[in-house]
Amino acid sequence: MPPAVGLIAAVGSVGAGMAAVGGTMAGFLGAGLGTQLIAGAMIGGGVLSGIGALTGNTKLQKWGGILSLAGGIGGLATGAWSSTASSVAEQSARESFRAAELGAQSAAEALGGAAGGLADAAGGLMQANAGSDLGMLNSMTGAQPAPMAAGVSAGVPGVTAPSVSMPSGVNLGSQGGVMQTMTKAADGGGMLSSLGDKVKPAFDWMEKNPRITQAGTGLLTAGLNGYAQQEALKDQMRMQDEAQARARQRMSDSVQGVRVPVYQRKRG
Amino acid sequence: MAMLQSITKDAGEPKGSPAGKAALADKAAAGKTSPEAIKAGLHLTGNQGAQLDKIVLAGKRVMFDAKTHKMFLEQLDGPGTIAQKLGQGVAGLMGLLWQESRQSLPPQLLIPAGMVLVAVAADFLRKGGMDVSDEDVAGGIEALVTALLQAGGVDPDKMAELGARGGKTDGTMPAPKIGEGAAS
Repeated sequence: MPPAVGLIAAVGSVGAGMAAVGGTMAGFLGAGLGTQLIAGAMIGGGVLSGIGALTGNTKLQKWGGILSLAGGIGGLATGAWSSTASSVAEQSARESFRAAELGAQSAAEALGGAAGGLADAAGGLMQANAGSDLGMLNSMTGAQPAPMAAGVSAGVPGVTAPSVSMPSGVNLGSQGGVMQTMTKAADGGGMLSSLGDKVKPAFDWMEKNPRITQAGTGLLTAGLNGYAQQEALKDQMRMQDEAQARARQRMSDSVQGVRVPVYQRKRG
Repeated sequence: MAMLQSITKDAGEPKGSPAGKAALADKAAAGKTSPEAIKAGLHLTGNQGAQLDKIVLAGKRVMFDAKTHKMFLEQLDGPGTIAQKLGQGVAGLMGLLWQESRQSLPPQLLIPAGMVLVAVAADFLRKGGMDVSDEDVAGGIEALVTALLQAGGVDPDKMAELGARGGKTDGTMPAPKIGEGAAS
């Protein structure tokens, strides 16, 4: 077996095992990630267009066109990319928002049924975030969603959250939790999309291969030691600054209200 | 003059065995999708170049280390084309790097670094004797960008639509004619 074959396998396996990429990112970064990724596509816009033209890959050529939206390379230099990337992210994430609306609709239907309806609805909302995968949404909610009409209201009449048990890992908050989740879904633009269908197989694989997983993460930790150290240093500096600020404040507080006598020479 | 001609003539064709010539031809074909070429084509500003190098280095460590190399042999028979395995694999790798770096990687460099890593992986496969075409690299990059965009909540098709729109001019500037310069 040539060594190269091993790499294919390696790359393929990383893809299978670490398909949690979306879920991982989703949990920590929030709505800004889409914008940042589009900014990344702009940075690589020239390459995307070039390789697309070279190989006849139209998708790459189209993605490469994103750079021109920001005014080309000049746009990257002047910072014009920022607003453009944000705008593109917003427009590209609309499908997810519609799906979230649909998810809310299904959630309301699910609530009308069993006592655990809201729990299913929560799952439905999470899946609704996937944007395009409405089939999975239907299976999660157990309800047939009605065809989506234009201008479907984001409000979910009759949906209340208290005193209903939640499945583990789903945080709907307290009152109005469904709305909260839906808002997050809209803001995040599908950030949680990979959680439902991709994270589980990844963790299954990790459970079956604990030693391999451990070895892999150990290597990564070694490889990324620099980043971790940078973060630790930042934390340390921040804590030092805060300690100094507290010390200054204490000193300042201790002399507040103290009147210092001022000697004045008698005029004679 | 005669000497100059002979040098030029000699340089025109590579010397060595047929296999060596074939290797040189492959290298020339893969030049446009080489890691160096891709990195050179990125529009990096400020210290983004140094940051990108760090990310790529971390990715290479994972890909080429003996332990991780062994680790993934089991997945050899997995489904999909080389392009899919390259792209989705590197996307997963970027996710892993992201996670292990405690989300400290600059997110705007995930796609550019991933593109370079796809080319690195393809380059390695070529050196190992596998036939990886430029189309495979392009397909790998497509799979990578698709996976990352979906992870970020962006619809790749929608973005392509917007990009296609962006590629067209609005009339204020004449569209560049491809090949015009070469023809003249």
